[in-house]
Parts: sequence; C-alpha cells; structure tokens
Amino acid sequence: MTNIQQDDLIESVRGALQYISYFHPVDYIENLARAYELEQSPAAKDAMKQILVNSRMCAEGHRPICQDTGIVTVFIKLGLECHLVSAEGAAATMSLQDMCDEGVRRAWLDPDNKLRGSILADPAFSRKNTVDNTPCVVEVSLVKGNTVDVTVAAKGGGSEAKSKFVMLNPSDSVVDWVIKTVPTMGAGWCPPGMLGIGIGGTAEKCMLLAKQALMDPIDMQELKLRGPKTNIEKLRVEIYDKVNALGIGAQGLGGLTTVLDVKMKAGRS
Amino acid sequence: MHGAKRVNIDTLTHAEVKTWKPGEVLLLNGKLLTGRDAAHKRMTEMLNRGEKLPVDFKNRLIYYVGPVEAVRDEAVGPAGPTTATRMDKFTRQMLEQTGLLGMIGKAERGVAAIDAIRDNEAVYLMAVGGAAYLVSKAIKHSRLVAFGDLGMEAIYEFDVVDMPVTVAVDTKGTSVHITGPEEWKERIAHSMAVGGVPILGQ
Repeated sequence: MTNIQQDDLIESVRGALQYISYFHPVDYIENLARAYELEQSPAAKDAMKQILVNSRMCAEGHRPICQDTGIVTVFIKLGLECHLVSAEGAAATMSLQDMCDEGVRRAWLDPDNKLRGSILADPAFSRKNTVDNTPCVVEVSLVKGNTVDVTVAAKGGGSEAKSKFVMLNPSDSVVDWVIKTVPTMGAGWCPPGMLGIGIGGTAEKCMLLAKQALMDPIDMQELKLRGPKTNIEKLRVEIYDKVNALGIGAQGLGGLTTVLDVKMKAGRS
Repeated sequence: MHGAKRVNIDTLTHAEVKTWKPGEVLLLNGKLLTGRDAAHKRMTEMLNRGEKLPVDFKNRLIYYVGPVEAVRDEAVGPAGPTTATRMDKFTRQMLEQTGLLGMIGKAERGVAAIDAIRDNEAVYLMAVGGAAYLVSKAIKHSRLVAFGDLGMEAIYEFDVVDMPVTVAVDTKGTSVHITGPEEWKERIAHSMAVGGVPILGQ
C-alpha cells in the first residue's frame, strides 16, 4: 500500500497548470519553427512569427500564451495499491474531483499569474462564470501498481468548440470524412495545430480516445523520415498530407502548414 | 513591421475604411471598445426593446476579446482575439443600429456577416490568435465601461498604440479567409503535380 497525500496531488495539479499556462512544450516549438522556415505565404508566415515571438515573451514573462487559458482535463492513472490520504495519514477528506478542482482554483487565482475563468455554472440556464475555472473534467482509470500518473491539459475553448463526432457506416472512409470536415471548422482553432482522432468503441469512448491522443508528443516528421509501419501510422500520414494540401494555413489565411501532426487512437486504449 | 500603415481609430470614417484593402496590415492607435458573446446578446436585446445602449459605437471599432485580468503593472493581461464567427448573428443589427464601423477578431466571417459588412461599408480586421501576450503590449490602458457583471465578457475601453491587425474583410466584402486558402490549395496542388512535393523553390 502506498500513501498518496491529497495535498501533494492538489499542489501537483496547481503547479502543472501554472507551468503550462506560459510554457509551450518543446516539440510544438520545434515543429512550428520548422513550419515557419518552410512557409511561403507571407500572411501565414507573419502569423507564425507572432505566435513564436509571443511564446518566448510568455516563457520569459511567465504570463499566459493565450487569453483563453483553457478548460482543464486531468487524466489520472491511479494504481490499485495507492491509498489517497490526508496530512495525518487518515482517510482523504476530499473526493478526487474536489482535489483536482482545488488544484485548478489555486492555479487560476494565483496573484502573480492570474488565469482567465472560462467555466460557466448552470450552462443550460443562467450561465454564470465560476471565476475560479472549476469544475474541471477528471478522467480516471484504476490500474495495477502503486504509483499515480497524472496528465494535466488546459485546452482552449476555441479548439474545443470545433470538436466533431460522427457515426460512420461500416464501409465509409475515415479519411474522406476528415477531409470533408476540416474545411467546415474554419480557423477558430488557431491553425497550425494538431488533429486528435479517436476510432471505435462507443460514442463517448471514441471522443475520449481523440482527446487522449492529443497528449502524445508531436512526431510526424520523425514518422515520415523513418516511414510509417503500422496501419495507424499510415493513416496518420495520409490524413496529415491531405489536410495540409487543403491550403488552409496559419490562422486560416492560406499557407503550406495547417496541421503539425495527426494523432490517433483506435479501439481499446 | 514594414509596409504597415498607422491608423488613428478615434477619427475613423466610412470614407477612410473604404480605402483599406484585403490583406493590408494596419497599426491601430486610439480607443477600442471590447465585447463578445454575452455583451452582444445583451445589447441586441436592449436594442430590440428600444433601450439606449450604455456605450456609443458610432464610427468606432469593437474588439472581440475576453481578456485575462491584469497583474502588477499591466494595463490588461493577455488579450488576443476570440473567434469572430460566433458574433455573425449580431453583426447586421450592430452595424445598422449602432453606427459601428468595424470589428476585430480572429478566424473567418460567414456569408451573412460578410453581406452585412458589404451592405454597410464596414470592415472586419483580424489579429493573430495565439499571440495574446504580444498583442496586450499594444494596450496601454483599460477601463471597464459597461456590463461589469459579465467579468471577462464585459465591455472595456482599451487605449492601443500600434496594435497590428490585418484587413480580413474589406468594405466590398472580399474575405482573405476565402481567397487565401483557395490560392494556396491551388499552389500546393500545382507543386504536387510538377514535383511530387507541396513546396518548390517558388
């Protein structure tokens, strides 16, 4: 049995959310910089330049990369040998949802780097801003072992608002549906970005697979260099090439790079 | 930024905005009003009831933004544009009933909004999404003007100096979000046909 302190979990969520508010991950910067060097559309190139300059300013100034500091999803793989406890070693005093919400609250209200509250209570009716960006979404799976693995995502509403779902017929083409759908999404998701695609399972399972797929590091250039081997890798490359051929470009202004990567999870994952 | 034109947004007229071309880069100087979804819903409901708005939009620009609160000596926190497409359904009424001259946001406008812009000789300008901290450096002062209960969705007035924007829909209704991708889709297809790669040394 391993004791996991609820205060440690809260602090880890808080610290991670502050960190990702002002640091892009390295794989994104490297891939965007590469796309910037290759871009031949002046408008798209200027947009990517502004994004890269902004990223550096935020890394130095510790202020958010975007005014939309996102909706929080916390993915937790909780080992079955783990026991969440309070400071005195007694039973935890909060639910896992409440622990994550407390981490979000502390991150959002940090006086040195305030983040933007974007969550509404009572979404169907009075739609009142909750100010501290709670509640977050917690996806938890119980796994073997005695460790806790936590992945924290703060996903902008602009991209989340472009989420698409379809029930395809058995012989329909996934590629055709993606290529037909991406142009309808406009530029509100701030291309160049990534597509996360989930295939299979049930309606809610495949949406979860699509979201989880986005957490993997960008590796399209390495994949193309060594050549795709598995069926999923070949499908990823095909969609990547065909989406970029649409010419949507940075900020939808027309250009060579619309997606930096296409991530995919299929079936049980 | 070479080629960019400085514009005084406190003295704008239809005559001046008619000279702006699609894709042209402008540096805005003066006072901007802000507002997004909730403010537009409230304002159009007020207009429908014949109520006077708390703000005079005549010959002014609105910036679609929900900013981060300021810390330390910031005028405002990161304040990049939100997706303008969501405000399309309010556009004709705002242009025709408030004297609004133009809007700033990100992403494309739909057909109805482009028609309203053309019919009213207005403009849509875009700022780069994802460069929110950079753009906030152009905002020297921020004050709450109306609808404070809406938090980040309230109407603020920003004093801006050299805020870079691009003309995305001109007064004639030409949209760079339509012409741009059309051009680049064609160029990529041509390069693929000639050399099998999406880029040649062109």
